[in-house]
Amino acid sequence: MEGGSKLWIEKFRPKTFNDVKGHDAIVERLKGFVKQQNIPHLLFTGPAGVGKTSLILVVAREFFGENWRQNFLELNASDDRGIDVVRNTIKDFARTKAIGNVPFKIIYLDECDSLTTEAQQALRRTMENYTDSTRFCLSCNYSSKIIDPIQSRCAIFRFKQLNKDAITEIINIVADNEGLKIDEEAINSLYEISNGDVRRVQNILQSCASANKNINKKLIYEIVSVAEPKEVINFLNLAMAGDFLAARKKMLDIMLKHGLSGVDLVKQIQKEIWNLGVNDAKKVEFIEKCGEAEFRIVEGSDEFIQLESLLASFVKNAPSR
Amino acid sequence: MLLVDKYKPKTLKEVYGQDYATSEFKKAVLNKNHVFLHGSNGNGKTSSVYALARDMGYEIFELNASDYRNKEEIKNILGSVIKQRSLFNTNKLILIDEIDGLSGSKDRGGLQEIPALLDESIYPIVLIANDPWNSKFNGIRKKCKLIEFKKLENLAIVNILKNICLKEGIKYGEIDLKILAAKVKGDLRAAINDLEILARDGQLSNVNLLEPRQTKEDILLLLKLILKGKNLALINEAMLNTDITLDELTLWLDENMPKEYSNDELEKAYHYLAKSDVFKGRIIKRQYWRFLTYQNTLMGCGVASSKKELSKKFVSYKRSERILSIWISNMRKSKRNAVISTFLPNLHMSNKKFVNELSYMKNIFMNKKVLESLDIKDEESKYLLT
Repeated sequence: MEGGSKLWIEKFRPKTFNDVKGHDAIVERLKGFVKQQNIPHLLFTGPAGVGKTSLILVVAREFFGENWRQNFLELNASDDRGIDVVRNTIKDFARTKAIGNVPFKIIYLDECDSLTTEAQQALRRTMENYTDSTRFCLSCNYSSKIIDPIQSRCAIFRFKQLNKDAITEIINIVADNEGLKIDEEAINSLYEISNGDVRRVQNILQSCASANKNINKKLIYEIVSVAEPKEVINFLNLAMAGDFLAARKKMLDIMLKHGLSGVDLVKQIQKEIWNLGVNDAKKVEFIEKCGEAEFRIVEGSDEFIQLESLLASFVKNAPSR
Repeated sequence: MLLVDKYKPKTLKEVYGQDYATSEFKKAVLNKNHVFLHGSNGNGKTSSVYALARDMGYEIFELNASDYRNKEEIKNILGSVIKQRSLFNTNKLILIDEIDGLSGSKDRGGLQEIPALLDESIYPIVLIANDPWNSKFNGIRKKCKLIEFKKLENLAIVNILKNICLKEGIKYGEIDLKILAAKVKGDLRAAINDLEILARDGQLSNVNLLEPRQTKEDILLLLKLILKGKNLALINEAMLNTDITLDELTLWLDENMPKEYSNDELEKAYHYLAKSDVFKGRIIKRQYWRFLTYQNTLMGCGVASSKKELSKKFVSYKRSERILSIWISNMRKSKRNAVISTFLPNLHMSNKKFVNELSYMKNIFMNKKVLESLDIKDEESKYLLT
């Protein structure tokens, strides 16, 4: 398959400011920084897949040219969280001078939501001590997870969810390059399913394209339904039918298969409760129980016990009895 | 009623195998001497005091480890008792049990207060401890008559157990009682408790169950107590004496509860088990070990009391396989992550995000060319696809 050997999420990642879709105001300000050859520390906040990482990569390219990788350190706080990373990796990188004719290096810290408070506290000093040689760009989904002292040291950029026009534009660029045929209805469903997450759009598109270059709504939903199996509603229905043992088995399977934490699963259960065939009063009752279970998971030690307790209370309160 | 309570000696004569000690004890009390009873656990020290009091119509004032026993408390509680005449002019006996336990921050000064009490009291004071030769008792020993309660012989224990079995209509094998007696090392109370646990349904079940290395059997016994019965006192006792860890018990209960309970009962039982786990979490976070009581009680008594009626159905208990499945899945995960980590740096996203995205990318990774370009080998790709 032509051009099929690369992941599209990389292939179609914007290389220049002009490639970036949406976020016009943010792009303008960043362009200004590049022009002045200086930037403050940055804090990018916004939902997943709108282009936060892509944009900082563009900035790095614009600043450092071809050698951008030498002056750019990317860390994922959700993989390398904890204070040691801040104390070792980040400090080591920040300590040395930038290579080539540039005033500073950039450290990009992705998914800072999951950075522990201690690590953030440690980061705060580091950011000040190395301003001569290094600029930080932090990215997160919610700025409220970032401690105030860090927020006050950064220029904050709030990324909004991409609107339908921007998504359509991106889909069309991919379609033109890859020789796909995609109709209006399919674009609409892609937009709905992805919630404006471009990474998801491109992955679904590439998955569809491996099956068929003519992409329609049906194909998209086939791919998505494999990716988003109705497993949670399945075991909830088992619980509603009063079969605790079967529901429990299914629940453990799901957790292990998808590597879900207890809190992850409670979140999904709580969403799916709205789709259960019970009356509204029961739904509210169940959601209250979810809240209690989530609290207990946070407070307790064995999340599976807590989930089973939730399940047992669903079985007890199931309308079939 | 627990067997230990039922067969507690009512009179001094019934205190088994301590004839010399009890007669000395009685003499001393009649002479209004203070007494220091000592000896190992469960051979009748405290029982003798109560038996004697009953025999001679004495009133008992007891201060044991469950009370605060610092200087002030002891003064407040006993200070007046030792001087006042009793309401009906009866004699009094003052019992301070478990004085080995009198130390630490909460009982500060308590021990120093005792010699003064001994001097002032017009009533005999009985002190009880395991080891009277501890140096902290130096000021106390010389003011009291020391009476040792000897460790009970195995044979004596066997005889007592036999007697109880006969009265309770429990069928027993001689050898089983001997093993049981040997195991408790002279502790009669422990022996009777063990007997109670083993003697379900009028039959002494396999005594080897009590051997600590047979934890599998041990846990089945405990599970039965909790899931089939409602004798909370017994469950508490058993949970105190067992070598099984609470974590292990949690797993067993978790696996087997749904087989015994259903609906309301199951919900309630899980509620208690979950609450018990919350207390465990709190212990871990705050290192506040007093919560252990709640973890313990909610797990044992909470689960047991969730049933409406005693269950008679036959259930074979199984060990939970949850830990194993989690382990297997973790192995898979770590292999998958190893594969991912080879190309992840080029994708500018975290492992977590990529794994999230992976289910949308299955079709992409079935494409050989994509795998090649990312340098993923065929046998590695299966970890991405499952």
